[in-house]
Amino acid sequence: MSSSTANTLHGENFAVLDELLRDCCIELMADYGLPATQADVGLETATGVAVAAVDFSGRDVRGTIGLRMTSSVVLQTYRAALGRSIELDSPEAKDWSCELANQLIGRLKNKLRSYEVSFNVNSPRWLQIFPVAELERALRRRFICDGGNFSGYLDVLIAPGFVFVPRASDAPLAQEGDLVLF
Amino acid sequence: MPKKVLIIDDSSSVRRQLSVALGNAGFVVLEAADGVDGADQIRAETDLALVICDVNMPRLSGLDMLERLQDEIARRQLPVVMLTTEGQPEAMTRAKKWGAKGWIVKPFKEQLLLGAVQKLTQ
Repeated sequence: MSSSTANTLHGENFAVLDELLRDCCIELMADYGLPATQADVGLETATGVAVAAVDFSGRDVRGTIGLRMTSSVVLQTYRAALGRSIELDSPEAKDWSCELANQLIGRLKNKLRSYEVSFNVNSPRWLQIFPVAELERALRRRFICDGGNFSGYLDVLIAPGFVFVPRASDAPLAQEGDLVLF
Repeated sequence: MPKKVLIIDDSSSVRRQLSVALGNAGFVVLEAADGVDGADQIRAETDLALVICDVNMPRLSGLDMLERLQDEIARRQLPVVMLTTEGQPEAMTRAKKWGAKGWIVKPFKEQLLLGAVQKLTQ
């Protein structure tokens, strides 16, 4: 494979992932009553933020997905899910931030199934410090929503030669919110 | 007599969310934070009416726990519902093979979940 072909494939792969990351972020927050719009400006200077990340690894891809949220995003989504308020510094807020990151990687995994990509997911981790160096090279999508903002990050390594091509699925996939009884 | 439901999930937020919903519906709720603790409680609590179990958890995953306990779950006719962020048919097929009665993809809809719990505990 020539280097220009490899670069084209590389760019196309990351374009697919970038779009999926955007969709996953918007859908995740919408499910908790927070419609979001994409922001072009840098939001990393905001204070009072929570950051959670999840590592994943599979045959074709491995990496880390991250979710950085201002306090209002954590608190509003928690209230939407549990009907009560919490403090940002509480263990509940940390656990909830991790759960949101967990649901973000779940959405991405579900969407990537149509590209025949699968991976194992580790337990989410709450990050005390925003890992600038770690996430500097990552795909990043920033959003603003009612009263706050959030960013989704995807730091991913793709197996050499692998190309994201959508394929017809033979088995139905359960979607977020679905209940299937056997 | 209120029916007893065991929730197995490493997220305390999800456990609380389920616990409040099921408690308000009249169930007695027990909690476990991973598959090892969950398996211990399933063995110890012989009058459980239902188990709701996450898939990705530290120490022992929900599917691995299900595989280990499949004979006991079948013998006791204990309904197990998996609750996870993933909707992969392969994982659902494995869960069904090892005795699970349902699969819910997070975030769950409370009324849908309560309806399934009521149905499976009748």
